[in-house]
Order: sequence, then structure tokens, then C-alpha cells
Amino acid sequence: MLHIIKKSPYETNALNDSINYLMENDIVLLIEDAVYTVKKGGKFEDTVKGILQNNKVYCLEADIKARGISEGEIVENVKLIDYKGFVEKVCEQNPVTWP
Amino acid sequence: MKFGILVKDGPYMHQAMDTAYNFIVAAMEAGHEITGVFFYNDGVYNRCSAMEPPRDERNIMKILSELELKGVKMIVCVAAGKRRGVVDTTVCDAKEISGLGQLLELCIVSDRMITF
Amino acid sequence: MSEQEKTKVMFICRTAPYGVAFEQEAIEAMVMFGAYEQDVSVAFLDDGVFSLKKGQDPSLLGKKNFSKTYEILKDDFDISNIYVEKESLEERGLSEGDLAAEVEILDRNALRQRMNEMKALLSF
Repeated sequence: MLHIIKKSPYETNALNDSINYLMENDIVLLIEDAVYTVKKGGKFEDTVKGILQNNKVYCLEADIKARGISEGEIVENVKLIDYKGFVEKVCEQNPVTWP
Repeated sequence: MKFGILVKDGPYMHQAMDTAYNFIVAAMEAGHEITGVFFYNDGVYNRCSAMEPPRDERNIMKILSELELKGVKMIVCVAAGKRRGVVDTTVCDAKEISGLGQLLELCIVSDRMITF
Repeated sequence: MSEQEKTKVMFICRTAPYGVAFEQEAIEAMVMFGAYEQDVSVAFLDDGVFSLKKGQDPSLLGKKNFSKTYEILKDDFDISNIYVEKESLEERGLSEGDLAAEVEILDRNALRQRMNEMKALLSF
């Protein structure tokens, strides 16, 4: 499955809720306010590193850029993708949205 | 691939419709088919004909209608629309109003169903 | 229609009722889907489990109480399965006896498997 998370982890539990449902090969895609999750030094840095041990984490570049987060501020090994990449991920895995 | 889209949030306040729009454009550019966009819950407001934001802002209803001209089917849920006053006289095209059966149809015919 | 031909759709309900009102329209969609003879499941997790809490009375809010509707969905509207996640119930101090409808309690691992079998997942 492709887990699409939209909300800031500081605001809702969607990130943790989705982590409970991660399976092998599942992908995590952070969009909209969920991109704040990957900010280095933030409360969720370790959570992201934890997910990365078994699963891939992608972030929508347009949302990261809009929110003033530079590449250097993003937790290592999180990959940025554009909307084309978003489409490709949906092709790879069946999407489930965690609103 | 065939993608079905479900939009549940209204325009401007939430980013959902903007994300869905950019996704649809990218999917079409990559040669995929959009089987339809189903507007449910507050999502029905995205097709309100009276939408008229300041000129320097994107008009969500209009950019969606441009997609429709390119063959993307827009479906406004009749029950959710009626509840919110988005009916045949206030929606941008009365032909877009249809029932929840259309949402199920999207689930059946699409390879992927995405909730925004 | 044979089981293989049916499309497997799951409604994932993660919001509590009243504060945000996805519930009523989610139910309307479930009723419609049930009528089309597909394989429709409903899963309550996270705050969605509050939808099933018994004793709800939203009359002072001028709203309807849907907590008892789910049993009817299963019996009369051909919804194949209604699940509630065990861990979400426990985290919120709820158990089987607190539920307004008879639904299947599944743990996270089992629910994750069910989710993985679906063709379409609709989140509310």
C-alpha cells in the first residue's frame, strides 16, 4: 500500500496511525501539512528514521518548497518527488489516505 | 492506468482540491486515464457556478472545467450537493450532478482509487 | 455475481462523530454501495471507534444518532463486514460492552491484512 498522509503530525495522529498499518514494501508519502514531519530537529525526526529502517518515505517537493523547508533541513534518506513522481508511486502501490 | 478521484474537501480553505488537480494534470501528462472525479462531502463546493475569486487568484471551478474540456468526467453527488445548496441551478453544469452509484462505478472501473 | 467478480471496497472511518460530520454521508455511501452487490467492508479505527459508542444522544445538537445504524447496514443492506480495531478501542477506554452495534472486533494485524486485500480504500 501507498500511505498518503496529509496532516501535520503536530496537529493530528495520522502519522502514527498509518505507521501501525505499514507492511513490508509499503511506501509512505507525505503531502500538504504532513511534510512538516521530515524537518530535522523536529519532534518527529526519530519517527521518520524509524520508518526509514523498513520502508521508503517520500515527500511532495511542491509542499516542502511552499513551506520554506530547504533540502538541508530534511531528514536524510527522505526522497523528494514531484506530482509526476506521486503518480508513479500510486501506480506502484494501492493508495490509502490518512486524512 | 485508470485513476478514480474522490474529493471530500471544499475549495480554498483546504489544499485537497489543489493537490488533486495537480495530480490529475500530472497523471494525464504521463498518459494515464482519469475515470472521473467524484465530489462528495464539502467537495461539492468545488463545482459551484457562483465562484468568483479576485482576478489574480486561481478559480478552482474554472480550472476544473478546463480539465473537463479535456475529457475528465466531473461528478457532483446529488445528495451531498442538495444538503449544501449545490443543485442544478447553482452547479456549473447540471449534467455533472449524479448519484453515489457513480462513486462505486469509479471504484469498479479504476485501477486505483485515490481519496484527497 | 460470483465472489471473484465483486469489487472489494473498504470504507475507513477514522473521525469521531459530531465535531466533524463525515459519518452521515459515509453511511449514505455505504447504503448505496451495499445495494450494488459488491464486496463492501467498513473499518472503524482511531477516533472513528467513537461512532460506535453506545448511549449517544445528539438531540440537543439537533443531529441524528447513527450508532445503531451499522447493524442494520450489515443485516439489511448487504455490507459484508464491519470491523472495529481492538487497539483503538482499548486506547480510548472502550471494550465490546461499550458498543452500540454488534460488529467484529479485529486486532491491527488482522485488519491490516483485510485492508491489503482491497481494491479501493475510501477514507472518511
